[in-house]
Amino acid sequence: MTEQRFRCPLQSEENAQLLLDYCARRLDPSRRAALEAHIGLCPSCREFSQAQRLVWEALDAWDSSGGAADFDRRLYQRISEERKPPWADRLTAWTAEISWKPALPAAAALALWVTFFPVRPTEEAEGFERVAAEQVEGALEDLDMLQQLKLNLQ
Amino acid sequence: MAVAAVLKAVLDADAALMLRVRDGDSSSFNLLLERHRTPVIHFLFRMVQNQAIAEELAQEAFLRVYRSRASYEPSAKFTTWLFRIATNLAFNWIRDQRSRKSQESLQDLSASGDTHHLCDGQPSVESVLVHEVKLNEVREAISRLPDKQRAAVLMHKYEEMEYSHIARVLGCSESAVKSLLFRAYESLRARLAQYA
Repeated sequence: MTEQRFRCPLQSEENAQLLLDYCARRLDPSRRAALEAHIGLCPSCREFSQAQRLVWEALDAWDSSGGAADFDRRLYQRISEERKPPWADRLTAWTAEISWKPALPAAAALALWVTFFPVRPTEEAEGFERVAAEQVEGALEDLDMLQQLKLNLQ
Repeated sequence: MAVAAVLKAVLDADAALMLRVRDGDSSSFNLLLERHRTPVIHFLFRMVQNQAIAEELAQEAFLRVYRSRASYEPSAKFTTWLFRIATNLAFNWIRDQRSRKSQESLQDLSASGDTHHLCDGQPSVESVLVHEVKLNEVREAISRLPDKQRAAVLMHKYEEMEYSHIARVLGCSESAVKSLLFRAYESLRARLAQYA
């Protein structure tokens, strides 16, 4: 009973570093030897160090061996995105801010127009040819008129 | 003081690399990344207990390092700075999680990304189960520690940092770190001793 109640001053908050370092195997040989001599005589410190060793071993079980396969690629991608010129960001932000909703009825109307009144390139081409022929005929007629004028003058 | 800072910078190879990054050498950043990527991810994984979140936070930590390259001054060890950024990111994430009160326990979150721990040989079903129980208990015990105690234990145990180094990362005194570790290990002894 008295052994359980007794708490060695080495286990106080101020001094426990020594015992914690001992259990973490971070003490230099001379200090380790001195502490081991004390632990041999002090049941309270022996109990403390045994419990701390068990904690240390339990924490050892938590091995974190995972690593991100594409960590670097993703990081460099983010870095390159940050390197974009400011105007690109502004353009992206501007296009994101534009509301396309008002343009939707106009686009729908245009789609309907194209559906029901399709452009007919053949008719247009025929019309163009007709106009061209009329222009040629007109020019020939003009030439004829000029010739007739010449003849009349002679 | 200035001489001490210069000496530190010379001794700290990472700081030297970071100075090169500051001067536009991107290959030095790659070296820093190779050197510290894994410890940072592992530290963050143990802090937040979720692999995807840990990687995301680690990305953010390295991104912040890169962003700050122009103004970098080797006033402290590079790893102190890096782990300070990582720790603050983890604290913020934990705080946000708490404030959301999403009721997702850290244990549930951890289910997504830690199956890779058991990769040595072909252990029996029984030993796998025993290992899993023990591992869950360790995770649970760590997650129950207050944030600063948790960070201090993880840096002390797994990153093998000195008290002074932990103190600089956490922005507190060395005696405060000793106090944090004393209380943290006291809690862990109470919870974990039986599972070792």
